[in-house]
Amino acid sequence: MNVKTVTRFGLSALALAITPAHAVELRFDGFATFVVGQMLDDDELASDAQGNLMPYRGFDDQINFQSNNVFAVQARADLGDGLTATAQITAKGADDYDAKFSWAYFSYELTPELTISAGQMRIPYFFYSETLDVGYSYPFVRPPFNTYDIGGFDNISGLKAEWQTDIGNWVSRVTMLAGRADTTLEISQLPDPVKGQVSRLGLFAWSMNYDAFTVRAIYSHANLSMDLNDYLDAVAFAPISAVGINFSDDARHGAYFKNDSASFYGVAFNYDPGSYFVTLESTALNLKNGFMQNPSEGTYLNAGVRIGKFTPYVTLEHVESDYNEHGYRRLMAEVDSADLPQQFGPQLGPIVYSKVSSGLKQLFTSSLKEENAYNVGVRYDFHPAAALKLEYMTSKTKTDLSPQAIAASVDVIF
Amino acid sequence: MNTDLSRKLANAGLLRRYAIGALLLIAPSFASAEIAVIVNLNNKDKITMDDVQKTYLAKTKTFPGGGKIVALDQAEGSTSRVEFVSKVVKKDEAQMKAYWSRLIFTGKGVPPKTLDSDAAVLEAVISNPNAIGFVEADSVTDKVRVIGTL
Repeated sequence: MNVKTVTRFGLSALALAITPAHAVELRFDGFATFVVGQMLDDDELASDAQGNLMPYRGFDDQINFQSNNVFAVQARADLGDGLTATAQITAKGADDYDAKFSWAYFSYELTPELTISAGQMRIPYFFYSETLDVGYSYPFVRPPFNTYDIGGFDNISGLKAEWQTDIGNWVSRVTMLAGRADTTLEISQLPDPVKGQVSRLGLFAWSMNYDAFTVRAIYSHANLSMDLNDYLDAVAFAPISAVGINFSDDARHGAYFKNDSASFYGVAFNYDPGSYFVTLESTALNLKNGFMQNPSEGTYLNAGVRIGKFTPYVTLEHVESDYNEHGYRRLMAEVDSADLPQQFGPQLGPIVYSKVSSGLKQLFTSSLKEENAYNVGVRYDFHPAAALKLEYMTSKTKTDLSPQAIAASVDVIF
Repeated sequence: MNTDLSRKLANAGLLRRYAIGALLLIAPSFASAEIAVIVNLNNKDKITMDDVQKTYLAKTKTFPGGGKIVALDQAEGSTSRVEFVSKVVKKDEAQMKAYWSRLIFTGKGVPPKTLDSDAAVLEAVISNPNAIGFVEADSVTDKVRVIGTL
């Protein structure tokens, strides 16, 4: 066999290898959201531990053009025989338009009813989770703020199975997901972003649709870790050890986030016959350990009427959280057994005791939240692929603040 | 005076005749807005308008006989599509777009392929046993099976 034959043979083998059995079909879709908003009165802003004002819904007393803006492109390659590859690249104003792969996954349609996906994708915690960035897909400027706050754990690397089937006249959709997620949390009290990790996440969601009515339930469990333990040691446990109380690892663990159990429950109802719509969603997050709010619960009701190109809507939201009493009591048990009056005398002992217990209580309750939010807005479908929205938002907080803001957005899909 | 009145009446009659004539001219375009949902002649499945609605909302992906549905769409704003979306899917085009944006950007579905005319839809349905499409009722030929007209 001479060189020429080998080359020819090699080339034809290569040609066979690179000629796909099906033509690869590429599809590009995109969306963009431009938001502008401003607080009406910054006297009503809550402040953090350093006295810095915390923005309300991402807005302060200056007109804010950028932080809620999103621009994204999705590419989907149909490789034939039920195999597809999808990637979504998103640039957000809050990240200085630093473009990131928010999703990148392969899907394989085992049967028309069952699809398996692998890669990086959105965790479908909420009714609107999977299109959270696609303003065009929902009525409001942004989904209910407090309910939809899941601490940045939006995306996961893992495996997903979706099974869609008919049950009588209902369409049933079951989603099962397993994987892990990493995030970086901005915590206002801390100078540096904190790394967080969710591992061994399992999620089960079931939605049933009949005509205009959809009901959805979801349960998820994961192990949660956050790099806050050194911070806690430094700001809370070191000062306390100065008065002679050295907490055991076991007691400290009640305040740490160290591979701890975190469970999430949610239920949603949606009725959308076309001329009007109503959505009710309620969710709860329970953490086994940790010094932050626990459990935290959010519920909202959103309703609107479609009048030609205009869709006026209202959203009422209630969120509240409790503190991790169990974790607090574990630490207090060791404070009690330290017998401070004997160490510091009957005069000073009770004072030290009350300082330590109130400091610990403050640690566990500082991020507690109780808030009622009221939003009124209108969506105007001024173009077949674009909507303009105007929204007025206000809240009543536990500390009797009533922040107000107005926001406008233009949402486009292409 | 009498002649004036009779002339006026005659004019009114003329006007009315014009008006009727004009209506007759417009009428065919109303009639042609009737929409036919069509499948391949070899497709013997019993398909209801509810099934068609579910198909175009990605709630059904297979025919009752098990065949994988290849749904065909027409350009937004075209007479056929506006009528189809309102009568069969029971949404308007903006709602349809928002609905599909939820499927596209969650990876749950890809919208039906858009063809640019009734003729193109007919051709695609004739050549693909799993195709389903909609055209203005007047365009239908005996080479396709009509599931229903609305």
